[in-house]
Amino acid sequence: MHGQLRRLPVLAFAVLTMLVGLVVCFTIALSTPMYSGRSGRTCDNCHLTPNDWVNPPLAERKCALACQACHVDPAGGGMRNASGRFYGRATLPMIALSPRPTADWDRRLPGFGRWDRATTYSHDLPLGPNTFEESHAYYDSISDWAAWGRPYGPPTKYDFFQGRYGSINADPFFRIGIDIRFAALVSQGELLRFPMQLDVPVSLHPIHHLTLFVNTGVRGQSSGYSETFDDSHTPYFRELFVLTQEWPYQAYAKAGRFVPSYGLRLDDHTSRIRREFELDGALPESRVTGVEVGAAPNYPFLNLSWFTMASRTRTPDPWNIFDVDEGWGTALNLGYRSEGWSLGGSALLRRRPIREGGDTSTLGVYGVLNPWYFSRRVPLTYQAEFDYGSYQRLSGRKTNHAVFYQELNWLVFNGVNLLAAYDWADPDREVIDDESHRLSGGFQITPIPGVTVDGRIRGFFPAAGGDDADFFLQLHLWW
Amino acid sequence: MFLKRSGNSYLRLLLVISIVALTIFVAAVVGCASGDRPLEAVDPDSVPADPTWDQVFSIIQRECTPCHNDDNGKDEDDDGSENGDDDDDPNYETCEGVVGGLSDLYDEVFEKNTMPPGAWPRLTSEEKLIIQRWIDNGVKSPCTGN
Repeated sequence: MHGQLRRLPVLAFAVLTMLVGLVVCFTIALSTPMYSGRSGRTCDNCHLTPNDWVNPPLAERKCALACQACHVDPAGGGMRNASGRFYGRATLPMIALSPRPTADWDRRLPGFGRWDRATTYSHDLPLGPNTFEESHAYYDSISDWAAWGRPYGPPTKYDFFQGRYGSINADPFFRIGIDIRFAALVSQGELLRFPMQLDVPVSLHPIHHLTLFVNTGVRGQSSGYSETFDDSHTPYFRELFVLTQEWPYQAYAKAGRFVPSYGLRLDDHTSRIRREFELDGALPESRVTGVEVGAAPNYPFLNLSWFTMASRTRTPDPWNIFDVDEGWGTALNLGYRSEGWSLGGSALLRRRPIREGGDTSTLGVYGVLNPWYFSRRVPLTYQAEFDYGSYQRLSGRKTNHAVFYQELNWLVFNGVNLLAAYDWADPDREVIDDESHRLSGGFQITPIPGVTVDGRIRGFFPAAGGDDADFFLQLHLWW
Repeated sequence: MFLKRSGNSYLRLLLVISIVALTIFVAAVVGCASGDRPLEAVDPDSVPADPTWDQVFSIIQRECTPCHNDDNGKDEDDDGSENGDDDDDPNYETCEGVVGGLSDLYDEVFEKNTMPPGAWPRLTSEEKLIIQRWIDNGVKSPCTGN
């Protein structure tokens, strides 16, 4: 009873947030749709103004809001492709390095002038090619220090078109990036500083339709730098796969080590919608070895994988991606991502002996709402995911667990985002007082492309008592 | 332009229905407290009856030693100060450290439920039951000689 009473304020917040979501939803129904939400609200978020662009047949379209629209890994996360890099240079920061979307020309911090030189702030905007054939003439305009060359052979209609992303090399032979996160955590009066992520992803694209992707990184330890660099998994292959892509309907197939595509792939690896299902992106244990196929024909998307994995209680070899144990798994992630909203569903199965971690079966549903697409006055983005599944205890007996996550973002100005998030997890539906709530509120500031400062106050409310809070600050360097 | 504005009223209706349904469903699940018994009563065989030191130590290594150890968590700063722990913090990196600091560990993990600290999830029911049974069975470990 005591636990339930203490939980009331948390539940009230959760319900209130959901009600806000509903109010926003009804507001959408009554207002005039103006802009797509966040990245989908305007086309020049992701590439130069189309000018006289004519939609090609569906099979040739590269426009989508699925993960592969912005990431080299079609399942999302890590190295960005030309479209993702353009978004990171044009829309995300306070000072843009690629032309700012016209809708955002006046969405800058008050007193913060038009510092960027990439945007003309006039009708004389740089324009991309109108057709595939025209894109060939744009090779000479490419100036990109992080992506070099071009794959062997003539370009295809399924490549990213040169010139459509300004000076960014849209279809490079070689690309190298970084994802580095330095973190500081203040908890119970103590300060911990540690490297959370040090990734160096490399993409080799020798011929069209074929890419070798290698992401080497460390296993960050909250205990500090020395512990991180002494770790047996520093460095290790976080991802290593062969990818064949640039096919009709943005279809692809990949084989190697990866994290299965499931639900909302948050960059907050501590969220229970990731951790509870062995999908914590920071851990080597979350990596599996297998194959994945998928497609993203404009609005719908699908990712389907089959894999093998190491035992749940064992960390796989850092370099040998075939270091797996008995058992197999499969994951399905599909949905429909429109400019203003999306709905998706996921399923994840693991079949393995009890000693390797036992069977798990998980189903999830998630959605994103981008009111901004419907009203320019509401620069909000809301996303939520609910997962329910079963797993086996060591006794072999099955039980269920459930997790919920929701997050509301307010992009106050370009480069300044405020967020509120709520996690709830019940790791065993049969056990009393093991559930917990987590409330987070914070900011994300991106002054220039490649640099984001993320700060959050997080309150944790276990049903068994022991409420606590911490402040988490991270510097994210990305390219 | 690739994208066409979705003003379709059917889609918006679907969206509203979906969110209402999801909200009701999630509120029902989240709002209802789960379970009415501790793990030991629900499934006594979920952890070994007599947990070994290795089983206990692997939990402690995973959940405690990242901060409570001899040298880490104390990376020196430029000014010579140390990162993280106080000098009197327990060191759970060794068997002696765990056994010597067991009362602190029990207090923080079982009585107060404040470790791991802050917004990090606390130990799972299985992890707590393993440690509890290990303590109840006499703290068997290499450094206690039993």
